[in-house]
Amino acid sequence: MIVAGRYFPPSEARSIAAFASVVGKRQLRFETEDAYVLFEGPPRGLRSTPRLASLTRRIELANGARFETEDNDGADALLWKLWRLPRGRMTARLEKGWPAVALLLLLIAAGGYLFADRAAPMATEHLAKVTLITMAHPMSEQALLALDRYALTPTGLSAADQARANVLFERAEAQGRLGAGGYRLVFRGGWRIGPNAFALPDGTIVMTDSLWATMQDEDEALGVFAHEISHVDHAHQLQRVYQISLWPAAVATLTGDISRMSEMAANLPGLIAQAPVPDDFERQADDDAGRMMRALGAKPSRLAALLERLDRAACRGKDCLGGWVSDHADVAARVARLKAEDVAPVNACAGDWRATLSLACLRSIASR
Amino acid sequence: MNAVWRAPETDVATTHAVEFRGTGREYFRVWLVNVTLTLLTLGLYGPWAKVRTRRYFYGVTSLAGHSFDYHAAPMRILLGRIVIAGVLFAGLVSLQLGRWAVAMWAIAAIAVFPLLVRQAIRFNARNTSWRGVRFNFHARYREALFACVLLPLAGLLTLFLLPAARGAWDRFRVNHLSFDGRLFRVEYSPARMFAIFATGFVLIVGVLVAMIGATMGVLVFTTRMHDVARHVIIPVDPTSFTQVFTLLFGTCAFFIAMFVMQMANNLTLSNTTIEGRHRIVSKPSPARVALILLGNAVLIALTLGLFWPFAKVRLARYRMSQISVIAQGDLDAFTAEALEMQSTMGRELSGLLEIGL
Repeated sequence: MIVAGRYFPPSEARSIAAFASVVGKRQLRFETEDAYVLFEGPPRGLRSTPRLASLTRRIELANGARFETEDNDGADALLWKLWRLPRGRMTARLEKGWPAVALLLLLIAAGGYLFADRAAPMATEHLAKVTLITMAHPMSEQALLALDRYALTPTGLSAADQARANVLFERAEAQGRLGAGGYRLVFRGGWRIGPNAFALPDGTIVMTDSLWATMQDEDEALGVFAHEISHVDHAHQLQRVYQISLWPAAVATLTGDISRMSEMAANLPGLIAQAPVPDDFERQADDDAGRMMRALGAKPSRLAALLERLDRAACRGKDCLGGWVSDHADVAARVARLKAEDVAPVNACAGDWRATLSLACLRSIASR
Repeated sequence: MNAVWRAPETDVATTHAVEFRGTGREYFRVWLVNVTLTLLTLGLYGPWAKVRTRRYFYGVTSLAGHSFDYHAAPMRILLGRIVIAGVLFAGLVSLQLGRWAVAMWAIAAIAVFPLLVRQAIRFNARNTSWRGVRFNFHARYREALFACVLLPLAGLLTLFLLPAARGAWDRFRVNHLSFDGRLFRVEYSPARMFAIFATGFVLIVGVLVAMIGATMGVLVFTTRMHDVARHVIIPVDPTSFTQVFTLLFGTCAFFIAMFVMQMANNLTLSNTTIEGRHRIVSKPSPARVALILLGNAVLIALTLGLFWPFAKVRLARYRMSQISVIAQGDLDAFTAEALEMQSTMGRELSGLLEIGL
């Protein structure tokens, strides 16, 4: 077996056309076309480049001489004969059978998507809940700083109004998972974000003056506070942040582009300030608010009334582009749900096995 | 034998064009296998994939009939990635320890950053070869700190220092690079780099002014001339109008940024010499490069990423086809000297600190 190529003598930049072969007892020989032997000896210290696509293959000897060939199959056969394992065979075989690899990739992508679709929400919820309060605090502080600079102004609420709101807030927070003192209510004038209230990961709840002005009774305020407290309890903001950054993080890990990770860390406060809340988080917060309101003797339908009022006001006045309902898609469905919450739902699944298997129970599970 | 092959040194200038013989079809297979194995191994194959990609692009690029080669050991790159992950993990830990810890970490990270950059450049240079001769990179910490941290920071804060930062980066990157002892050198007037950045700035401002003007025009049209405007349907509402504006401006800004980058690259490369004898000429048209990049971005998006390998080859082919080296005298003799020097000096290439970043 003879492999054609170019031979570079030790420390020599010029090459000569040569043939490589294995002779005798695993002796490597390079010779010219007219059989002039350039090198013959044992392949001690031999190194070869791995096979890759149609790249030129290099075989280097310990003395600095090297041999280059375009004949990849020949080079592999030569190395086998010298009892050397040619590298890059597996990937070369995969490259040759690329349609099968493409199919495999498609399967991985589909499997990955299905896995992420099921596992990602669970993972984000877990991550959000184990995120230490020490991390949530600086993130929230930065988010509030950014909002203060670009979207919020100092509050114009009177001391009496603030005191009234704080009293109501204390009642609502007693119902939250962290209990009294676990949350903090701050007031802001929101010239850009309209009548609005939102929760930050560390338990800070921001309410704008215009939202306070829109409220007609104490039940509505309790409803808004309870709704936001539920967002804090379920770490919805952090969940959202993880949801948004999970894919880029996965891509960064897979491609090894770790620089993107630090970029993401720097963007976290911005994400918290901007990320819209998905509908199922809203539904969960509404359900919790309904439960807390009933416990406080308030009517969940009052929160529904506030929602309707805000929805009507949106896009009619100055606050067209902002407001507590602006990013909530199905206000009508939420309103209907809240109105139904005035009466505590009957647990259709309570009772013996017949109740557990009943249509009503299954329907209630499905509606959750 | 050596004496027979070595040609006498002449001072005749010869132009050697860089050749690129990679094809999208071929690289697509390499890329497909890389992506699949990386996904299957949950990212562990990443360094191997990186080496394969580099080897491919270096291997299909040749100068004076000889291709480049990349020799990095993937394990070293994996080690480098572990180091970076460690630095980032330390940052996460510091977040839990309080503000002082974060400040300490940030200072340490900034102090270590130039070291890492120098290490990365050195690693790549030492693992790149042409005709069996390796490249090398020697720079002091002080120079790395200046070029990678201080001037870029000053540039970002003041903007007008950006051309100076780019100039310092070029000098750092090129003037410490050697082809086994033969030094690369870049020299150009700072005013030329400043002019390039000024052109970019004027273009960006021009686009912004034009777009704001157009927006105002639409507003005036719809408010003042509502009799006419009533019959004209503008297919975007105010919210999506902002998005359209951002998208248009983003596209223009991307185009201009790529345009400026290519002009700067041309300036750097075309003013680079090797040992004062051989000169590099780089003349890809900045507009063409920006157009290729823009087209690539669109096609990658349309094909859900499948066009990526073709895009990469397309850009490399154009860029490489526009680069050449004007060699004074015999390149063979030049390389032979370097080879001899390399074998007498020994490699001293691999060490424990040799990690790829």
